[in-house]
This record gives sequence, C-alpha cells and structure tokens, in this order.
Amino acid sequence: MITHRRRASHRARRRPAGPLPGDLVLAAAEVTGLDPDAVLDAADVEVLVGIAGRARAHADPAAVAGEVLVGVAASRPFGRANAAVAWLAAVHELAERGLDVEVDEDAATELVRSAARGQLAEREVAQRLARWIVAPPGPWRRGVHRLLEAAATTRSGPHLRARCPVCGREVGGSSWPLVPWSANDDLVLVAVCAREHRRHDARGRGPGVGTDGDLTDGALRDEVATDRVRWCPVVSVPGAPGAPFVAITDDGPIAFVPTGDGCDELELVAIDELTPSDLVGSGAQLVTRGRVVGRVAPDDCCFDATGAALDWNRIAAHASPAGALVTA
Amino acid sequence: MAGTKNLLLRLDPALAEQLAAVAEVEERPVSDVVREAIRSLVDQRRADDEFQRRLKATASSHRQVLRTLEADER
Repeated sequence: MITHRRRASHRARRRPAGPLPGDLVLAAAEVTGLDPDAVLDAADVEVLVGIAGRARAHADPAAVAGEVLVGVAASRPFGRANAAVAWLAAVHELAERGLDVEVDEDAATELVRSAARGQLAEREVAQRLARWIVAPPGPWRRGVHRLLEAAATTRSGPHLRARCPVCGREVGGSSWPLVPWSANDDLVLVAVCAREHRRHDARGRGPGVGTDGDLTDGALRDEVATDRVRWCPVVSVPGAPGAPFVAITDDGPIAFVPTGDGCDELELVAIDELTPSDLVGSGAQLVTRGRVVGRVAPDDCCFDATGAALDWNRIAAHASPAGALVTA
Repeated sequence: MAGTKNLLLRLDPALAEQLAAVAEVEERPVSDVVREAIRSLVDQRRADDEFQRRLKATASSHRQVLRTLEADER
C-alpha cells in the first residue's frame, strides 16, 4: 500500500460558502468526459440542490466535503460514475480552500464505497477527511526544506576548493566546505572566505584589499580584529524578500517581521521557545507567541552572500528598542 | 410532483416561493426551472478558465482513485 500525497496546486481564492449545484455538474462532466449539458439533462436536480444546500450550511471544510461526498455517493444524482464524482467533488471543494489531501488510494476508495453503501454518515466521512487534510507547505516550510537540502548536500558532497574573487585566498576548508553549487558563485565564495579567513566582510568590502590579501582598510580591519561581525543562521523564504524570517541568535530565536506601510521597518520578535516544528507553516502563530523587542530598518540587516546568515551584532547596534532588546 | 415538494422544503423559503411562482407562470415543473438555473451556473463556471483549470488539476492528481471508483460501477 502506497501513500500518496495529493497536493492542491492552487490556494483558496473565492467563495468559502460551499459548492453550487453547477460545480457538481462540472465535476461529473470532468469524470465522465461528457458535455456538462448532457450530464445535467440526466441528473436529478433536486438531489443536487439538496446536496449543495446542506454542504453550504457548514463552515468547516471537512464537513462541506463530507456532505458532498456522501450526498453524491449515496444519493447518486448523476447518470453514472457517482462514486468517482463524489470523490472528485469532495477533494475539489477542499482544494478550492487551499487544502491538500494526503491519502492512501485504497483508503480513499474504501471510504467512498462505504459512503455509497450507506455505511458511513456525513459526519464520519468528514472526520476521516479531516485526518487526511494537511496544511499546504507555507513559505517557512519551503525555506526550511531549502536549508536542510543545502546542509545535506554540504555534508555529503566533496570538499572543493576555490579562490576568493576579492582577496585571492583559497577557500573551502573542512570547517566551511564548499559544495558544487557554490564553488562557481562569486558571491558565495566571498562570503565563505569572509567566514573562513575573516579578512573582509561577507560582501567583500575592504577597498584596501590588495593582491596579497592584506587589508589596508583600517575600519574593516578593526572590525574583523575585534570580532564585531557575528553571524547567525537564518531561516528565510527564498525569493520572498517581504516575508518574515527567523534568525537563530546566540541570545535566542528572533523573528524579523516586516511592518509599516510598504514594509519599511522590521519588527524584532523574541521567541522564548522554539522547536523545529515551529519553523514550518506560515509562521503567524510563532510570531504571536513572541514579544516585540525592537525595530530595525531593512538596510540594517546584513546578510552574508548566501542569504543564510545574518550579522547579529549589526542588528543589535542599530535596533531601536521597543522593549528589552536582546543584545550581545 | 412529490419530488418538487421535497425540493421546496430544502430551499430557502423566499427562493422556493420565487421558483414556484416562475414555474406556475410558465406552467412548468419546478424541477425544470431549477435545471435551467443550474444550467446558468454551469455556463458561468465554464466561462471561468481558472475554475476549469483548477478542477482539471485536481482530477489529474486523483486520477487513479477516480479510475478505480469508475471501474466499480461498470
């Protein structure tokens, strides 16, 4: 028995009220391959109206889907393929609300068959469907997956070496190994060099960096020498600059939440307790559990070239406290 | 017309009254009026390309279950 994950490719974007009778007709047309007019001509419209009416009386998506599934499977309003139509109409209603269904095919077919035989009531079907509903992967979960994939690649991949395009030093030591996807990326190489040799920052800043790699920029040299750059890993959303992200600092997890008109400010939200499961989904619940400890301008967020690490010291220096700002 | 009576009981009273009035004026069964109303809804949905795309996508991802259930009825 194989478990299949059925994923909606779209998100809720319209009426949450439930199906209209016409939706059921179109589901039947999709299953049978018949013209919707022909499906409608052969359908028991009174039953269709009844199913849609009962389904729309529910607010819970699983209850809506349960009404649809049992209604179509047991009442058989269509000329044929009622069981298949029942399943499609039910999962389509969930998909319209942005809900995925993770379901074993055998279990799904048995559910519909039992409903068609009258062995399962709407409520029981709704309960089973509710167990199969999974939250769609939110931006935070996708971000975590991206980081985990990168980490796995780093652990298993070969240790490559390359030259920093800014200072010419060799990078790719065992403590900060390069992986194939990064060895040809100048931005990554500069950031890795910054981490490994600490002779310039992650953006390669240091106008006095000579060909021999010696720093002549006093400020930068001082910064490096006094260890004023403190990188901390970030769980962020790839390709979504306006989305919240979490920095795992030495002082604890801090969520950076865009705020203000045009997201011109980031609210720092300290999270007291953080488990890996908190970093999946939308992150909205995580943020509500924290407390605001400061605000920074987006420009004060200095990431390394990979975007996976943030200079926490810079944040601590620039944040305007809204409470007890976590500091170094 | 026993079915029609059941239908009216399931509908919102105001809507049921309107349907009954239309059916009476046009001297047609209420079910015919309802069928026309549903046909109108179908036409609206058919014109909605996004809805059609989403429905097909859902059907595609559940194709095996649908085939199995269809085969049950043959």
